[in-house]
Amino acid sequence: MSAEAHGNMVKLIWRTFWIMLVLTIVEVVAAIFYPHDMNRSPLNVFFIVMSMIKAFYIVGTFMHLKFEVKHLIITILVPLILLLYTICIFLAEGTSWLNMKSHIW
Amino acid sequence: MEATLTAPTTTKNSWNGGVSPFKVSWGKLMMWYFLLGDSFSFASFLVTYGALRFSYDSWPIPNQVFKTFPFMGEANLPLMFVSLMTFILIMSSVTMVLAVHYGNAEKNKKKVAMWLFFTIIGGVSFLSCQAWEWTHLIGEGMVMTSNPFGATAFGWLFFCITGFHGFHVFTGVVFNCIVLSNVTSGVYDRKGTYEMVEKVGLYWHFVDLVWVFVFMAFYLL
Repeated sequence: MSAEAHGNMVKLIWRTFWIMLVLTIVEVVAAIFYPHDMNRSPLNVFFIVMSMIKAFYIVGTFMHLKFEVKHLIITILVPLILLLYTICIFLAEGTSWLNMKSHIW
Repeated sequence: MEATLTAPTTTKNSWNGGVSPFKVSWGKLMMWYFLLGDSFSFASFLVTYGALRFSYDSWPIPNQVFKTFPFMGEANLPLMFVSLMTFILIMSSVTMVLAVHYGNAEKNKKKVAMWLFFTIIGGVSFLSCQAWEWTHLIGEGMVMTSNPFGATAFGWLFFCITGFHGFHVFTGVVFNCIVLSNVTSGVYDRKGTYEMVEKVGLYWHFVDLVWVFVFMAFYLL
């Protein structure tokens, strides 16, 4: 690795750190100061998007996946689609349990 | 090891063994596959949390459960302590990636050892914070079978999920200690590669990655 590429990598690492730190601080501030009587859905969407961005930086830069061969990236990321499916069916399941509790018992 | 891998001539040959189609070593690829599997264990935990949460009418409000800070008595400081824990873990991820970088780019034994040492300090600090938080919550009456803040499920899910994560952090600290002792005794200089630091680094970043989602599910949503 050349001296320049070396310096760039260290810079990239620290830049990623600052991005992550700022995102986390913004999240915590939002969690504390969001009015209690307001609809929480937009806030929750915001938290999920922020977490996905942080995950992107951790996996891409810290775990170096961005710089790997394209097919390795695909192999790692594609199975995770199953998780989306799992989230959908289990949250629907939870809602159904709540319905059963209030209607049957 | 790497030197014996020749460039693939055709796509067919590259999948027949003897070469690395993904241009990574066997160990690193298997670490990725292990982490992929592990992400499913954590996802199962968090999805269980989601399903149970959706099945309750009311759920404890994180700002009211997590509002104490060591040595601050009864002061109301919502989410401050967990923010500190998150900061420690992100910081330790940075020190880890620096250790990996100085190992791969410079084979700089001193710098790798120094950054690995900081990573271990970060990991131990995180675990200490978690121990304090658990002790405090148990003291307030939140245990596996009852929860003064609301739904019982919140309590046992909290202990199972942060416990499973904490166990991963603990394992990571142990791995880091082993690798640090190998670095200082020159094992990787003799091998000619610091790749083991990178493999353990992958595991460590994964632990940080999982914390992003545990933090989101328990403290933010």
